[in-house]
Amino acid sequence: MAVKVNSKISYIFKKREFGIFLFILILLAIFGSIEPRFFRSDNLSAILSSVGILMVVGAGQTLVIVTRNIDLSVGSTLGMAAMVMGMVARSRPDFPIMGLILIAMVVGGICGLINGFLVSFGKIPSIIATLGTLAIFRGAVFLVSDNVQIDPEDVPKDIISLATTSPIGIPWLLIFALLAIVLVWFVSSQTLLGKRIYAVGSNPEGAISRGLSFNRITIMVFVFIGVLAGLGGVLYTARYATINPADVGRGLEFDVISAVVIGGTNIFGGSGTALGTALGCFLIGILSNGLTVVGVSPFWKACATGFLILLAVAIDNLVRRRQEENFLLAIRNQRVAK
Amino acid sequence: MISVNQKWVSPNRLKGNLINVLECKSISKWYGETAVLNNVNFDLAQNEIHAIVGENGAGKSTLVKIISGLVPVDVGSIKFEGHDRTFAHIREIQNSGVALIHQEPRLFPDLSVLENVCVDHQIREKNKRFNWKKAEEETKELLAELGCSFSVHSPVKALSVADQQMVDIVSALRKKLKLLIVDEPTASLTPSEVQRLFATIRKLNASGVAIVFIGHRLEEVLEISTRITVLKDGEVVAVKKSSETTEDELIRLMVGRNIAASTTNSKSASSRVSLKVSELESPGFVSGVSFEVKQGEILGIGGLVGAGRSELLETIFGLRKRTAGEVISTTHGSIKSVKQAISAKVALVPEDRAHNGLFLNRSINENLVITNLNLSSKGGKRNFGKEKVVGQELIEKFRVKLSSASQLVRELSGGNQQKVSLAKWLKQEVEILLIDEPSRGVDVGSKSEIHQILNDAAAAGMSVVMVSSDMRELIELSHRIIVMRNGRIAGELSGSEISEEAVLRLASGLTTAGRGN
Repeated sequence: MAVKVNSKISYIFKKREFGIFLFILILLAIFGSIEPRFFRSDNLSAILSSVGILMVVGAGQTLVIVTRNIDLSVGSTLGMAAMVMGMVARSRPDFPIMGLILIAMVVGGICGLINGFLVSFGKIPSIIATLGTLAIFRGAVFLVSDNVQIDPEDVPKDIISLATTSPIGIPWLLIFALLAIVLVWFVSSQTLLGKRIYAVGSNPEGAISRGLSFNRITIMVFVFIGVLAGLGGVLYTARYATINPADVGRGLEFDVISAVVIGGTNIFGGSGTALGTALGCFLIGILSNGLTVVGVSPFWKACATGFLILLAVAIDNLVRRRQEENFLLAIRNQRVAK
Repeated sequence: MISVNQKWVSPNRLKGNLINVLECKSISKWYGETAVLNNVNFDLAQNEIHAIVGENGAGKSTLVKIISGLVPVDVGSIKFEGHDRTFAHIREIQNSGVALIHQEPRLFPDLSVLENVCVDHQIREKNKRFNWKKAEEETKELLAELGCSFSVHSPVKALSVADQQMVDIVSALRKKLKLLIVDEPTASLTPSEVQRLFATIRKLNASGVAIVFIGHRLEEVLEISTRITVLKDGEVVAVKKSSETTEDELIRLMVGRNIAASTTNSKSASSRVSLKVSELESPGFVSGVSFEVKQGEILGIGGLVGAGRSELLETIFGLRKRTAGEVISTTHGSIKSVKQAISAKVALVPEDRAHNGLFLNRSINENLVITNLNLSSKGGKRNFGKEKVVGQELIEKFRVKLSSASQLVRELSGGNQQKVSLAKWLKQEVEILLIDEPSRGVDVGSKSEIHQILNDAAAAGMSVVMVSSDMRELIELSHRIIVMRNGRIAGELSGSEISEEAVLRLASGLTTAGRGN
């Protein structure tokens, strides 16, 4: 019976991820048949680069949403990290690349720490707290940069090569993204810490009464997403080679949260997988690129993206609800049979 | 079983001296200006099962929350195994071997059984990874010892309440347990599940775990405990040895007045049928259920938890999708949706009042008038003055204990919440009342008041369909009892056929022949 129930559960989750996968294939087929240039290698690598940036930040957002929180400030955090790193690189062209990456991650981590404190000890709902810091961090980007952008000639070649060079056939940018996803998968499925993160999202009161350190876990996930957004800042710089205070990371929260939710993470906390998020990022990345390539006007593109997100989630909810009912029914029948 | 004994034998017991594991001295606690606990002394010996009884709001739950560190104490001192623990952090208290099992299990529905059990495990050695294999073995062993057969990998949300409680207990056992506090564990369990739980508690106690037991069902309390502390309005009124007291005495002590332990039931109903249910079908929960309810009749629905009783009420009310069958109110015609049910003057008081029956974050008054807005509004505009009048009338009629009508429902005790959830329906002329577990988690005083309310309502011509797991309530209140098993009617009992044994036999499938078939 144990085996049967188990395989049934994994079946549901696999089913969900399989559904997203199918949806991706359908999108690829549609875009490819309308515009053959969609499959040109430069376009595919453009897709992969944007998916990579989404995935790095999405990996962090998954854990944040699992704890019943949300981080709206990821775009500004990414911008802040990229800007500080870019300014250091501009003033000290010989600064080692590892040092630059570290700086970006630390800046991101500090932003995350601020969010974490506001939400845990400040008791401000995360949607409000990070809405505030979304504006504050963006303002800070303008302040520290004096509204002067970092030009491509000031960005170290080593950074730019992260998006182009590849040690094992895929560029560094994607390797970082996959590492972030694997890290979240490992933590969430293999460690006690991961189970605690899910427990806090699944039943906050229960977590407190079992003596789990609620605040520490909240701060931890916010610092984690901050650090990853910092890394995202590095990847953004690698891809676009320009850091404009008004543009860097703007609107990223929309794509990231969409990807995570499409990937099956429950917005009410407690469940969600790294694999789902990865697939969700692919879906969003392919969709936004494909609509541009086939020549949909930017205004229609925004509507279409939003519409497809709602459609995907609605279909998925319907399917999932039916499956969950059947699953509970199966368990019930087993019990009755006993 | 041997391993149970080895694992939890504490040093004190081996030495043979029965010192007090827990000593609470002059504990006081205020919420705002109300004293919840006033100068309470409570002690607990190693080998004892010490029960705490009292009406809702007497301070039982607050006392055990203070002992387990969930709520800070205002005045007083707590000693655990000789060490002062008055201001200890909840984690420190838990790590010293104290566990509190709540009325409703505090688990993580999205996690598996194993993950639930291990989630607060402390890794002592540095740089050592948590050993899932070993934890799985240990958890399986503990579950087997407690007689549980579910898989450690099934998600907790798929388990029954009784099984969830076992998971909660196993979570506590994974640590070195010295003091187990169970707060009203039997409220939603069936009799056989209660016996399994009691066997577990006794086993633990025999192996050196001191037990604090909070319960409402006094016969159970007398059965399981060795000593009983009676609380009333936050004060200890008596400490009795269980062998030297009786249910009647306990009730007298708890309420300070005499309560008719069994409400008299005139057992008379008119012959006019008010609700007809025929061949009702809701896949997986209810199949082929037919019955009739007469005007002024209380129809009890018995059966084990999970037999489909609550689902039957929900299907009748139109909350749950039905695939076949009919529900007909003889005065208002066919009922297919909640809207039709309400306009046919049918009301449903659900079991889980916190989630389904009340707006916890709104005031008592708003909760009372929400179903009666037609009495206190005009043209879609609320009349706050009238609302107050309507609310006040209900508060007085149902004797809801409160500090003010604008108090949030969240702050009321379980019994008073149930009264509010009943009262809001009974203001209007409800013809058919569907009520699920009317006295779950309710103290003796409120319980008999709720019973009185139901009897009065029936006498005034209301038809009541009542689901109850409390055997005594079911038998005393019902004119007729339908017993359900696996979504079907296993049999019907009326008049002299009604007995605890008859209900149990039908519910567990020992008797298959019943008139309802």
